[in-house]
Amino acid sequence: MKKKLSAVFLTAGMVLGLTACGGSGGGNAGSDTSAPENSEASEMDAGQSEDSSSESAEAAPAGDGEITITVVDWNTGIASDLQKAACQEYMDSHPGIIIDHQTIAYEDYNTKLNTLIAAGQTPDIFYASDLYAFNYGEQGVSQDLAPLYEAQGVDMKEKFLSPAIYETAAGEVYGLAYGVVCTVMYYDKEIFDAAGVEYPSSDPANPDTWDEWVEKLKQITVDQNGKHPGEEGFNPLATKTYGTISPSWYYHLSTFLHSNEGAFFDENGLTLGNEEGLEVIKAVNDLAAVHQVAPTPIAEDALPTVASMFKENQLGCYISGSYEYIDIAEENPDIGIAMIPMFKRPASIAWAACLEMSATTEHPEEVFEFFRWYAEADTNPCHVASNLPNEYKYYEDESLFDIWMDPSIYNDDFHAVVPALMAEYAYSPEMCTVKNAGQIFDEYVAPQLDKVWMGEQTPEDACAELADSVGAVYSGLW
Amino acid sequence: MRKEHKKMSLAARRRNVAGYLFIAPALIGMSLFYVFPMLFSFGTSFTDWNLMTTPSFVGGDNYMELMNDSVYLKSIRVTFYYTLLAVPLSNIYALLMAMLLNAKIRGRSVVRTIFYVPSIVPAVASAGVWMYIFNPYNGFLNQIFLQLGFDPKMWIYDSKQVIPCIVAMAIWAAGGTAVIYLAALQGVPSELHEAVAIDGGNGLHKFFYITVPMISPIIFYNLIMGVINSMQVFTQGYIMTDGGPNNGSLFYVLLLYRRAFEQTKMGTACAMAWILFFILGILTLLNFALSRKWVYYGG
Amino acid sequence: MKSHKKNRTIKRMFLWTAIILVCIISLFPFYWMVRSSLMTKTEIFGTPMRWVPEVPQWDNYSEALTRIPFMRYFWNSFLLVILNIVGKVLSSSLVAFGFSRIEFKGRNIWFALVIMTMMIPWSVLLIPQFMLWSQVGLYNTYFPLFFPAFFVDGFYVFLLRQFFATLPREYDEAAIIDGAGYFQIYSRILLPMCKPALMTVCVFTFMNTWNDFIGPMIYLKDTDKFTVSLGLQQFISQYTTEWHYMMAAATVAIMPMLVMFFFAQRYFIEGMNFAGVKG
Repeated sequence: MKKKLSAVFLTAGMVLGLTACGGSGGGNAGSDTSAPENSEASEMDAGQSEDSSSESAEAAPAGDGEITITVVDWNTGIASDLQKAACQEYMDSHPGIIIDHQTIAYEDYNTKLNTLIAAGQTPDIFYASDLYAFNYGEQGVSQDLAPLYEAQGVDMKEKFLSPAIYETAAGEVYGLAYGVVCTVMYYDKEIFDAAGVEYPSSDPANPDTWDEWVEKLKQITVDQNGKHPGEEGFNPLATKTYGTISPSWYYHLSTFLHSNEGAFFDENGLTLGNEEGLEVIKAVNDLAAVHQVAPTPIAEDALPTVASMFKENQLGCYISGSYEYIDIAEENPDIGIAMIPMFKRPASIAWAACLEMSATTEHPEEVFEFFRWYAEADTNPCHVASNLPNEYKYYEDESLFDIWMDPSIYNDDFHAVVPALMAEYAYSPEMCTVKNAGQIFDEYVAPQLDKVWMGEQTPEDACAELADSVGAVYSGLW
Repeated sequence: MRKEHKKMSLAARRRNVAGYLFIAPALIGMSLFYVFPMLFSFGTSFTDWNLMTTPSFVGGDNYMELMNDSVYLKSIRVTFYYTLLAVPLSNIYALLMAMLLNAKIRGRSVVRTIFYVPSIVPAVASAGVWMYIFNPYNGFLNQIFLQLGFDPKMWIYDSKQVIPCIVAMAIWAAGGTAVIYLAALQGVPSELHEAVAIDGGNGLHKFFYITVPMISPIIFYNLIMGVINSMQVFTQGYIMTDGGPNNGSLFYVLLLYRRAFEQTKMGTACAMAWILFFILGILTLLNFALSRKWVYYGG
Repeated sequence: MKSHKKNRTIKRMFLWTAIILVCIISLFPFYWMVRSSLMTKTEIFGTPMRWVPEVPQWDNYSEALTRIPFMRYFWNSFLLVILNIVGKVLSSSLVAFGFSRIEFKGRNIWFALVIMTMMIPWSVLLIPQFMLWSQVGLYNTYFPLFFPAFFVDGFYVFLLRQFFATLPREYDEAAIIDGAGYFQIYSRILLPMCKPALMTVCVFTFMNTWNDFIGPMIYLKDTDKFTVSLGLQQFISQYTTEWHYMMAAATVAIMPMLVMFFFAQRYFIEGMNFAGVKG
């Protein structure tokens, strides 16, 4: 389930975009974009939109009719409508271009994309799950964007956040993250107030240390008899308010590993078993196993939704991606946003769906032109309104904040923490840079850590076993 | 004599032509949809192929790698464990249901339909229901357990309990098997039961001395199909548990599916498919060998 | 005499207790589905649990059926069901007739091979069949989902052959004397007599096609070609699963099958007459 969350953030984020950019192209959301009909006239004069076919033929480049660009992503519902509206807007301003936008349910996305590619129908532009982002480049499916940007005089590294660029060690860029998210900590102010505990630090430069945070969690965790963990008679099975939910997912662990100057892997193999790694695993595991401030990490899927737990005052803190903000804030408008607790240094991660361009498209120029229009905040601000922009300038120039941080959507806390965090402390999650990541993390790392969370293995034993088993499939970093 | 022989062979020829015409769809279908794909996947299993680039021949590497692949070996264990539990238990439950359905009661068609309901609920929806039943926090079973004073359990979130839980779902959905048993039970002549009654036998005698031998070919058939289907269980692991926790529900075909369509390791996936085919072949042969001891073919 | 009657009453009671128990077990998830389909999102998983919705949310149905183009999916599924039923009934009955009524050379070997197709795991066939269909350019069409039905299905061939075997051969002989060919025997005489068995083929095909999830998932790209079982999946792919809508859609989705099974089950069970199955 968690795996799903990672990549559906755009969906959640896009809901927000609805309000943020209701004016731009929203009116086209309902129109049928799959109809091969050019409606370029609608933007110029709504009254004359009936007879547009003759005009479009005139305006079409190269005279040989229309070019169809296929786009595939996993957004559904409102998010998908918004994407379609953006595509429509592009079609309106670019006669002769048809954008065929298809949505595939996230659950089946990888399967579908792979079957499309195998069937020789690689979409011109497509989302790639970050775990598989580089594979498509290696296999020659997606285009190296670096020379294309260079040809247009754009220095990608100067323009885009480094976590947004999917760049191999050899300098090939196989995709661009757009609509970036970062990991933050949500907290329920009421619970902290009621317990008389100081809020977690929201200063990205000076977060709570892990131990300070755990102390706070102990004070806010309470069972149905009003006992706190550590007190006699505390019953963890009857916890009324959990201090937090264990950040045990490998994306979250990656954050803490960064913070502790450790990592899952290096060039040669597993490094999770190093001192830094073990410290993080132990710390996360102890939340439930020793401090009793969190439910067991194994069954987090089975908990009620976080939004409702916050609303019912059942949860004090929650570490997760900023993409959950909309859902949580819908029911808890005053939700607190804090920086993630740290080990050695402040850290968060920034990641996103990777937008890739087909290397085998028939119309590379037109597709790249649309790619830029679609992936960049200046031209397609809808995405920016819902998630975080992928360009530095938005974080450097405060006047640009408002374009994407509508105060009617994001509360003050979000405003205060997230831009500063993104600009200074957001790393790229490690998973993306590990070759064979899908197999390694889903088949080896996550199951092995399950054993730790279930109390069947010590972190040391788990890492030793993992180093052994993962060695067979490990093939370095991208 | 010679003339007669010629005539015979003419009739035989006519029969041959007609016979092959009638089974032509099967012959075409088998070669297109079975023989060709089997050969294709057999060939692929000796290559390294990711769906996008051209396959390269790697000999038996895929098979060798699988033998050292701890995740793969675990998926075999998990699948066997599931099959060992699910096949006997769901057959016993199905036979029980069939016997209830075979009783002469009012409203038989309604009861039959009800017994069959679990088989027609879409997998996605029944997964949702069972995820609620097994939810450790506010799920149905744990609420009952708490009221009865037992400790709550983790159910599908415990690597040891997850398989029994999925087996319970399989038993619940045994209506299809029950229908086959019901048809078989209706073929058991009632005179035989009466004969046992006259000899002073009770219900258990009837069941073990008449019913079981009479329907043993069907039990055998259901066991074989049950093993074949259980070894290929997929949906629950795919929708409910995603193979977890600790790969505790990483069924064989789920892993195969992931390797094939998510990681696009077609060579490995095809090798896995062929090993599974081989395992199923052995299990089926074993089943046949054992069947001589207990399956009774009347008339 | 009296004690015998009493004995029977006790037996009946046992029988009915068992029947009711199994009914409850069978219906619980179904009940849960319907109940959840009428609740709000938070009510479904609330503690303490509720057996009936406080206020039935009938809107869930209209919302669920418009959120995804449900009627479209319904129709797509239905179309596939019809095509598959026609295909399987035609091919299986023809092939089964050939195997049971005509003695030709190599009959037993071919029959054994057809039976063996039942043992081949679908997972072995999945990848090459997909490659086959995409190479001939029929990816994202319904062809892969119904075309094979017109050729072979070991299970139904086996079933129908067993059924044909129970019909007396005298019919054939009489027809041959009247100058009928094999095809006439098949279409005029035997086919009308095996309606129950054909009904079984229809019911099983209906169910398998209606609930097939992997086939449509792999072969269909365009959302407007999706089937019901694939459509239900779309409620999960949202950021959180919208159980209330999904349950509403699922409830609607199983109605055709419930109705069909209720009316077909009498023939259906007759049709499953396996007496004489040989290993």
